[in-house]
Amino acid sequence: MRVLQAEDEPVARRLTEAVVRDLGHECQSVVDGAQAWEAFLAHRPDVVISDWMMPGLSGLDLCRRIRAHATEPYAYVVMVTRQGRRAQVVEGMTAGADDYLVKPLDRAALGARLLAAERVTVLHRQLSDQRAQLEETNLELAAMTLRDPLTGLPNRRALHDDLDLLEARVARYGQRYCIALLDVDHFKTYNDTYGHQAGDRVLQAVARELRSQARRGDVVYRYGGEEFLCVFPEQTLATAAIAVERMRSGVEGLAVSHADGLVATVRISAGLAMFDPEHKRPVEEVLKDADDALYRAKQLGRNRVERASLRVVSIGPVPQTSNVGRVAAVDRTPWRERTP
Amino acid sequence: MITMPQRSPPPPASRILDEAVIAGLGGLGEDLLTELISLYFEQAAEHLIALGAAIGRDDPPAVSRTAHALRGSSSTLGAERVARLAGELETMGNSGDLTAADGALTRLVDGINATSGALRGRSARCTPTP
Repeated sequence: MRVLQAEDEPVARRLTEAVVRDLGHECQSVVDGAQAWEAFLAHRPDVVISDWMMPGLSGLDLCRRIRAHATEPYAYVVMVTRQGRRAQVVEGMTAGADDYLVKPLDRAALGARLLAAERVTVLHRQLSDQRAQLEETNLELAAMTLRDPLTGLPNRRALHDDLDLLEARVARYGQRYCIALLDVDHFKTYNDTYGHQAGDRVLQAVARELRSQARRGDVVYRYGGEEFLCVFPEQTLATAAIAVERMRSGVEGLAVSHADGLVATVRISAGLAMFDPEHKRPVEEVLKDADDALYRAKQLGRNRVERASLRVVSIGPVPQTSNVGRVAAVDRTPWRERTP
Repeated sequence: MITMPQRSPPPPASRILDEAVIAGLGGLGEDLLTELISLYFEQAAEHLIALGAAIGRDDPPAVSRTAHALRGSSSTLGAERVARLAGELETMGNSGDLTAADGALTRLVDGINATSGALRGRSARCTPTP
């Protein structure tokens, strides 16, 4: 171990140094508390053996400073007091000392202290290693819980966290977002016909396509089942609709092959809503709007993009190139209670 | 039957040296012991000079501080008598009354000389004669 000794009395200092080295440890000696503090910061010793009475910074103050610093690795502090100073022992231990020695120095006593110090510092080191490992594992686990293992997309849990953030940004910075809900058409039939593994491959292919169509800053989530959600920052409904339409048409162009050699066509429907500072409302309402628009898209024949029209003031020009932008009467029944 | 009370052993403070301490230090090697002893006397000489000066200018805190340091190194080396005599001066310094300090300093000088003699005698006993 690396031992730092603070002792102003030369004979005791030389003696401690000799005993510590004789016991197989390194020893650095300083003559007062201030030097000890500097040496502590510079060299991070495993053990600090400090005399109680020193000019300037006392042993007690030194001990308090070391503990207030709260560093890794743990420093084992031994306070050295004169015989018959029991009150000092208690005060020193209260200040954070691990052990004490009584002067004049006894070789066996110092040896015993260093054995205890070794044991405790090893334990502290193991603990701090384990803590570091745990933190790493926790980070990995946290990352895992935020990602959908099948598609590699951020999952609904991640979305939940991100939506809080979005809500705050809309409220505080006046930012605007469009949110699209996208659903694979006839996925249940597909699953029933080709099996779950084929269904999983479709979801993976759709996820890849959505991600490749998304621009930097757009985020695609797996919302659940065969549903995806996309967040478009700083977009109007009109511009976001173009992006979603690109996604829809990209998915339509996908060729998902099957074991039997057949190639299936996959299509998606999408509902789009806007979240903006002019219309302050909880993000749940925006999701509801997107969900309603998606329902409309399903009702109007699927494989299309619908925009929410309620509560939206400024809608950009509607592109004429596709079936984007057709708005039907809004059905306010929650989407989950209906059949797709 | 009447028994005479046992004679109590002489108070340990009257010893010049605590041989057990010296023997313990000797366990770390004679070289280290020799080094510690010479370090001790170097320090003791400085302390004596400082004590004389502090008593001369009637500076009780300085007397107390210096005597405390000398007492410390004396205990480390097992120099019991010097430790006790330095302790007397420390007490005087703490009390602020240095009227008896001159006498105490003289006894301290004698004590250090006696310690020196005892340590020499010890090393003569330990060192094999050619």
